[in-house]
Amino acid sequence: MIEAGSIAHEAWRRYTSREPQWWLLAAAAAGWIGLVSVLALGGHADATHQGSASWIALAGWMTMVVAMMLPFTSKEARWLASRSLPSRRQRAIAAFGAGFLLPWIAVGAVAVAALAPLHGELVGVAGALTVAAAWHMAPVRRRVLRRCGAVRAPAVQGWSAVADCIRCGVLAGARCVATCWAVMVPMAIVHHPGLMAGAMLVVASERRAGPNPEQRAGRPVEALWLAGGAAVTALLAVTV
Amino acid sequence: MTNGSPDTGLRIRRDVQSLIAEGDAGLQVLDDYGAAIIAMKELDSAAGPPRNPRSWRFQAAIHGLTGLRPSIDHPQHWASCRHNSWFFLPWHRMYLYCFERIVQSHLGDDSWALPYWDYTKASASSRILPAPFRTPATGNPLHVAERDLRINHESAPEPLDAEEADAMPALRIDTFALPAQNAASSFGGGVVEDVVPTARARGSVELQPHGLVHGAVGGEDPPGFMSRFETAALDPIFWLHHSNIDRLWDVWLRRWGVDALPDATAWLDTEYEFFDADGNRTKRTIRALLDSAELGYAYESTDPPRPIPVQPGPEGLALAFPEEEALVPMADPELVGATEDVPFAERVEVGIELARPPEAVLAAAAITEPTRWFLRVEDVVGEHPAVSRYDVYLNLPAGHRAADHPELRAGSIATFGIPEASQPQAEHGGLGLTDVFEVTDVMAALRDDFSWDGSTLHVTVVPAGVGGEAERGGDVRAGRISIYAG
Repeated sequence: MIEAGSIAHEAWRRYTSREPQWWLLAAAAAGWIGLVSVLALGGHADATHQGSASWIALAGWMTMVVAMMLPFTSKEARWLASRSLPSRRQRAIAAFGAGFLLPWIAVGAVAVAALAPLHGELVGVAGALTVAAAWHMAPVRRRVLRRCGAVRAPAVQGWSAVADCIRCGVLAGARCVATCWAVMVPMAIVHHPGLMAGAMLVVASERRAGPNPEQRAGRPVEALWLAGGAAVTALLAVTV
Repeated sequence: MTNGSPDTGLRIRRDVQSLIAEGDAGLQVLDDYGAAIIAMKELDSAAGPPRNPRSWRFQAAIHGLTGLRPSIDHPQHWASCRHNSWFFLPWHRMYLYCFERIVQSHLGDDSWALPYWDYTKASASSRILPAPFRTPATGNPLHVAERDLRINHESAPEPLDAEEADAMPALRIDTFALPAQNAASSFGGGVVEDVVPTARARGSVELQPHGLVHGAVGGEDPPGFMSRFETAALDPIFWLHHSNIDRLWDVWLRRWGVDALPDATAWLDTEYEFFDADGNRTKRTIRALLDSAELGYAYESTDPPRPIPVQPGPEGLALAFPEEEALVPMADPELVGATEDVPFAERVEVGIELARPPEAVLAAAAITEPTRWFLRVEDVVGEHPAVSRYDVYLNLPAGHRAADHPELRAGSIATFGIPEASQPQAEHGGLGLTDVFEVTDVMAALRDDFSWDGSTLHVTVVPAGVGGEAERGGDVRAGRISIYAG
């Protein structure tokens, strides 16, 4: 038993050494668990969109961003860690992660307020998914997506090292907003795990490793999925 | 002239110097090449976008042509060359293969084979641009004026520097590709397997001899055809240069075996589309490009310039490892120090404070320990380089000529590719290029230098080109210079 424990400990040590950004993925998993738990317990963002509780809606939005978007930037965080001194890796990842979330906070503040009148409206979700399908194929989006991994090697010591990592994070976050805003907008209208999972599937499908990687940006297959989601949601809006 | 081998049925790509030495029979291969170039040029109006895939400018435009916007999505595949990743070698292999077939179709001779310029041999004469390419006789289709004047001189040509033509630093690396987060050097380039690639270093063979020879032949005063992506394939020597790079891949494969190649489907099943001898589109996966015999050709020689050490690593050092130690998998190298924002406008020396205690640095540099050291010059940008390369030295004594200390030379950064990688529309938005040099043997030499305390490493960057050190380096600068050990 002790041996099994030490083997597991050694495996964990090796994993965390090779994947120092592991806790970003853990944060995303925690975000999922939190959101699903709140929704399962009958909590609904409806209440959070009213009056003074709008900051809670923003917190819900950011939880969704953490759950859905952080996993897709963990590769850049890992790269940045590998370009940092071993003693500063976790600081680099934390600074990068914080910077990454900043543009999403700004977008969330606007989106939550602007989309509040549409909250819970399936028609709104169908419209947003249609926009997402069109945006998915846009050449400008494809160009920005190809640059999402553009992270500059940071300074190695002092505050400039932290500042560089934050700057890299902000840039990565801004590019993430530019490419993924359209798939996130429906989440601001209706909070549903199925919708979140579907959006993540689209992003993951586009970003997974495969042949001809440079041609995987903005493929029609993912746009069709989004358009299909829009059709299903519109159907639900009519029938439910 | 038939280049086929009666034994294998393969057409043999010959060393251009062997062909010249052979006399008329050998020179006929080059005459045929020239005749095909003339025929290809006649298919094109030389103005506006090229239209015929079998024409000279169209073939050049696949790599890049001034005035045509680079886009890998372009339906004609203009400016679609793959650099700075593990796709560099296979993409150029298929490019050459299709070009060779188009030349054959113009000649009506499917046994014609593209020669190669082997500048990696020991003799200085092998590093001289072959005479038929620098004879400015009227109508010589192999000659272009857009080259470095000293390299292209008809009667007194300068040879390429031995260091920039040396393929051994690349050939002794047993790793074909490395993921971007690994700071070590690879033969073929960084792994790119999804749509969002992170910055990675050039493959060692893409840097040297490939990039350095490009820059040396083209020059920078002003930039010749070979110096820029968008003009390189307009120079007839381009195709012989790349034939040699393709041959070096076969040399590497012969030494390290096909099992050393990546087995990821993201690489093997990546497919390229070019234009065949009839001008129609043709596709092949990388998997179908690995064996040159399957493509119907072989090289006159796939012997390495010098014996490749049994174990990977610097020559002379790796052999010092006990075998069981050398087989221990190496952890990813870790950053031990760096300095930021280094301009290459002129010779510059910067100090890198090493994060490890001096005694640990010195002990780890001992050749009996399996620690390997890497110098990375990262995020190099610049739109107007003044030289074709930047030589990098460690702890070069003040006031000494760089050329007097080859034992302290880490390597050279090739200008070729830097202006392109600095453009905002480039893959990483103008982040530039990164080169990595294994400096384990230099560190071992420093360990024996008792005047060094092991706490700060001094890196000297020297602008250089044909003829050696230059005073001015242009607007090129490195975002960071780093030392890794592991």
